[in-house]
Amino acid sequence: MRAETRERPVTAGQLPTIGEVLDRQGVLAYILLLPGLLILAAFIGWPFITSLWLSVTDQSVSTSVARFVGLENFTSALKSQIFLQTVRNTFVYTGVTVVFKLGFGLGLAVLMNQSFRLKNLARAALLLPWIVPTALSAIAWLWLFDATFSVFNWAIVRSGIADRGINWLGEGVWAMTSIIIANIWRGTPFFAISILAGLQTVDRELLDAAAVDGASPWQRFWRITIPLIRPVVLIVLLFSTVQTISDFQLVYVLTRGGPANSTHLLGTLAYDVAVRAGQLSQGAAISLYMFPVLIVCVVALLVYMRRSSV
Amino acid sequence: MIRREITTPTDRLFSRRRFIYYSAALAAAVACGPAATPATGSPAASPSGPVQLKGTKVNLLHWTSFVPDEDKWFKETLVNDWAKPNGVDLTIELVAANEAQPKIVAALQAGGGPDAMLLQWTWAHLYADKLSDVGTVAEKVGSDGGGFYDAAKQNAQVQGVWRAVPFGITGNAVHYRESLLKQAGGDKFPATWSDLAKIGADVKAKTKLFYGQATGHSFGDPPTFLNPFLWSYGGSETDETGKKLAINSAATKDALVAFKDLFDKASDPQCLSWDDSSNNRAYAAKQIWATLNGASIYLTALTADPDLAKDTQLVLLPAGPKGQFSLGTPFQYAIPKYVKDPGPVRELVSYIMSPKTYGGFMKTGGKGYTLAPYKKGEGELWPSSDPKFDPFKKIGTLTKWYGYPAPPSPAAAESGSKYIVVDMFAKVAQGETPESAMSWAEGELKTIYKL
Repeated sequence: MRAETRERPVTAGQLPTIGEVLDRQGVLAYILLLPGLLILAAFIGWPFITSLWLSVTDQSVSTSVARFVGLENFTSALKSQIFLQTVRNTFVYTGVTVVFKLGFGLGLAVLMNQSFRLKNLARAALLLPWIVPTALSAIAWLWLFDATFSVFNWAIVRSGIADRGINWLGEGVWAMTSIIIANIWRGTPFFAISILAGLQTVDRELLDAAAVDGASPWQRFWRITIPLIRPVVLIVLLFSTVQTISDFQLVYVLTRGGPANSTHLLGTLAYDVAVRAGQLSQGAAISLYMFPVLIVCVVALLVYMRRSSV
Repeated sequence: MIRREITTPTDRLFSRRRFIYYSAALAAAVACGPAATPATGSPAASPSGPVQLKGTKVNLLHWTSFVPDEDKWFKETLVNDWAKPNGVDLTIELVAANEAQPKIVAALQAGGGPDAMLLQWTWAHLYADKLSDVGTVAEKVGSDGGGFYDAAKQNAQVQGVWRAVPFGITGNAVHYRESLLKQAGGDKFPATWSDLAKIGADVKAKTKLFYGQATGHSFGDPPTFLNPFLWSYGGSETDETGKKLAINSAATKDALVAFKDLFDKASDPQCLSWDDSSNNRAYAAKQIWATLNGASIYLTALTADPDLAKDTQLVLLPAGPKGQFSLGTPFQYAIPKYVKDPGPVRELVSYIMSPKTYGGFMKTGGKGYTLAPYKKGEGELWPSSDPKFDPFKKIGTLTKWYGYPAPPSPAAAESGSKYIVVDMFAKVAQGETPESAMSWAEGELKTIYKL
């Protein structure tokens, strides 16, 4: 048997070993990032590019070969009253819920930042709505708003407030109110816990010094606490806006967009058009209408984070 | 500079020349692969030839019936009577009716999934290009069953090609409490919509119970009530050709005005949020006195509340000026083109749909909840001796389809999926004028039908 003979002359221009390559921080950083990037590319990048492509074609479930149609799907969506109503619904739903979640979340966070008995238990309980799977909590809300068996209506009628209950999911305005209530209930803990984390970083000495200088509790909260927790609040606001605008589960379980499309959001309409009606390209175009709003949120977030890190 | 000598066996294996050789061989193998795979409809898979069942696997996607005995029949009887003796590994996947479509669409788009799927409504027209031709099975089933009903055939046949085999029709009838009707002075259920508005108002005034009908976004009850309502006044989405919109018409306006009258006098606004299960629950809880539904309400009451069942009578929908119409929920078996060997699946569908097996299913399964898609179903196979079920015998003949009077089409299926007719009625019930609701529907249908 012949011996293996490999020569590797040691010269100034020789290729580095694997160990030497890994020692370079720039290279190692990319290698460590690679798995995450691959996952992002596979599960977010590729579907996004696919939906971009779908939105400019006439792909339906039954078409084998898609044809390029330019922006036709986007323009035809604008001609649909259902779509225009859905856009209005999405903005109302997002705007109202985010404002209320911020208000309630801030209040709860301040409350949870105080010392009281069973504080830790209360904090854990506060997270429950956010921890419970949305589909599950939505079913509970479905029963609470059920036209025939609603416990709210039972209480309203039994207490003598009204002769009959509210048609929670059967009238446009009440149906929108119902999904807003459910979303606020679910989303408030996210605000509360995040803001609570921010509150705990506020230096007590600053507040004590202000108190010594004669600042009222309100002035201390407004002039010291709020500016210090502003970065957290802003980030939570942006995250919540992104999540709420693309909401699906609550609406799908509670109303499926009804009655008469009065609670359709872009996510549920895109689903109905793409999956139920089989018009994949139209559904993709509808869902991409969310993109400009989301991109504004993301850019704002990135700019803010960049500024605060400088 | 690195100088290498090829000296080891490994090096020889991966020499540049050999690499090119292996790559070419691999590429050739990949290119030939699909051709070597038995294609759909290949002689080996032909239903006319012998089909090897032993050792095969079949995955059947089915809906979860509102009558649990039907599910049990599939899970137990079918497995014991067909799969086990033939050595087939049969998996029955049950999904709720409203959740079936996402699964089907995902499977068809991905090109893999269940070997057979139960379609609803006119979905075969939506997915035609991705479904196998099942003509040989459908023709035999239809012939053995005494001929398919027109609606069953229209829903499954796309431009003359059978893209699915009709499985059945969930018939529906108005379930009503006879005692409450009598309390309000009625001796029999009204035969026309206008009479229903009158007697419904009387029952509501006397008993505080209303006529409960779902008009929300749900697959069954809303469209099966509102489409026949529209047709019975002469209204429709398009004309008979499907090439001209007809929704914005005097006939549709008459239907909307009549519906508003019925809704305001005899029904209740909460119905706008109801889905397919809401009226079942409300009727069982005695919160409503009448509702259109499949026989599941009556079948459930027979065991859960015999007194309620005794008081319950069943009739077909009332008639409008243009006659009496019905829209049963149709189901069909389809075999996707991605199934490489459809032989065992065809055997399975043929077995289920043979009059002998189907008769057994009707008797021991739903006892008439799912009706046969062929005429023997209302004759020798009729599963019930209970005369209350008799109205269901007419469903097969009376029932129409999405898009009627035009033939079913992808556009009609899309319109149904988007609840255009349902929402048009719901808008009027909410207080919008008939003219505004019709105009809205026309705008949406223009986009859908591309007219």
